[in-house]
Amino acid sequence: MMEKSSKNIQHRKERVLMSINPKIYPLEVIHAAAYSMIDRAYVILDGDPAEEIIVELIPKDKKCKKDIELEFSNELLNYAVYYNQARMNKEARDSIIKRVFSTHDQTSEISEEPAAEDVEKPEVLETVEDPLGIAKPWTPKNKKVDECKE
Amino acid sequence: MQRVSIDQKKNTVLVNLSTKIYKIDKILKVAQTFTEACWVNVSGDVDGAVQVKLKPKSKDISTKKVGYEFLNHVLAEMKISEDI
Repeated sequence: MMEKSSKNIQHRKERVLMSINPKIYPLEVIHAAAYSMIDRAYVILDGDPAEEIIVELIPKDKKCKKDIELEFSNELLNYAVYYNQARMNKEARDSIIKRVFSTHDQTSEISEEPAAEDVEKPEVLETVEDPLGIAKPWTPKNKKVDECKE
Repeated sequence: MQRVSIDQKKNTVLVNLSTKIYKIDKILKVAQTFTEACWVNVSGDVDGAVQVKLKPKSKDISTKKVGYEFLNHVLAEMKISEDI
C-alpha cells in the first residue's frame, strides 16, 4: 500500500504540499491536473518549471481533505498519458485538419470534364405513397385561428 | 515569501504569483474580472513574481477566499489557453 506521506508530499494543518519534478510531469500537465481539482480545493502553484514545481492544495470542504493528494497524483498521471498520446498523434491530427480545411479542388485534377454518371442531377422530391392517408392534414381546412384562442 | 497573505486589519489579501508558472496576461485578465467585486492592485516584477492586492468592496466577501479564488481563476485561464 502507498505510504500516506511520501518524500514529495507534506501534510500541513489545513493543506497539503506536493513537490513535482517537471521532467516527469510538464507544466501543461500540472496545469491540467490542478484545474481538475479546483472544484474541490484551492490550488496554488509555485516553484521553477525547470527544476521543481510546488503544488499547494487547500480543500474547500474539510471533509474532502482525505486523500486529496492521492487524487491529484492520479489526475497528474491521467493527463500525462493523455499529453504524451496527443503529442504522438499531433502530426496525424494536423494533416487531417489541414486536408479538411484545404480549399484545393481535387475534382479538377482528375479530369476536366466529369463523367456522365458523376454529373449531379437536380434533386427531385420523391412522392411517398400514403395508403393510410396519414399525410393528410387532420385539421379542418377552413378552421379559423380565433377558435384556437378560446 | 508567503503565497497568500491576509491583512485582517486592512481587510486585504496579497497574492504572490510566479510569472514562470502563471502568465502575466492571464493574471491581468483575471484581475480585471475581479474589479467588479474588489479593489485590485497589480505590482511586482514581470520576470519574477507579481503581487496582486485584493480588497473586497463588500464586507460580505471573505478576504481569505478571494485570494484563493483568484489563484483558481488564473489557473483556469491558463488551462483554457493550453492545448490539453
